[in-house]
Amino acid sequence: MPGHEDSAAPVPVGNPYLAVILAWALPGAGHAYLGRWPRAIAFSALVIATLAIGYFLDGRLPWTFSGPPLSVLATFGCLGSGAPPIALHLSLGYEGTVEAAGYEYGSAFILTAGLMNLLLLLDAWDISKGRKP
Amino acid sequence: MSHFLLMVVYAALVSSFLSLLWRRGAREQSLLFLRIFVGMVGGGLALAWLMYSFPAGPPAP
Repeated sequence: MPGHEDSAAPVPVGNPYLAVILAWALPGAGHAYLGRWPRAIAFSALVIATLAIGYFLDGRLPWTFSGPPLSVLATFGCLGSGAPPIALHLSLGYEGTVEAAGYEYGSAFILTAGLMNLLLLLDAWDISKGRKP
Repeated sequence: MSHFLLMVVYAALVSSFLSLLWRRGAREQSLLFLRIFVGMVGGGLALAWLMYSFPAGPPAP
């Protein structure tokens, strides 16, 4: 019954641009802004935990905006998790320690945290537009 | 931390994230979590087993 489907369809909530900016700036903040608190807390914990493990393993936090294309791509991938990696780099000067035993693993964790959060931007956009519940 | 433990932790984090992102409902999320987790850890072990027959390279400096 068409009327029934319309009433059950997700409705747009919030400003999608603000949701995406918040979701990028702080993992989970976009979902919190949209009122999805349980998901916001879970996503925030997962992304921050992934980034923290990478940090404690001394993984690489690339900070290359020109030069080898893959390094630039890795930089933008890692910066996908917003303020935390930027704060790590700007306040602590963190870049990772290539001699550390966990360097390669840590780099994978840090990059994965960024890519996870980039997926959250798309999810926040879809929720805000009413495409997802 | 051992290589295996790191692989398991990584697989658990990624599986949790993707199952929460792509599924609604605890049952569907648990099923997807198991599929991704077993795929990643099992795939990693299978790849390691296949590579075991290849000769090791020179020792790291």
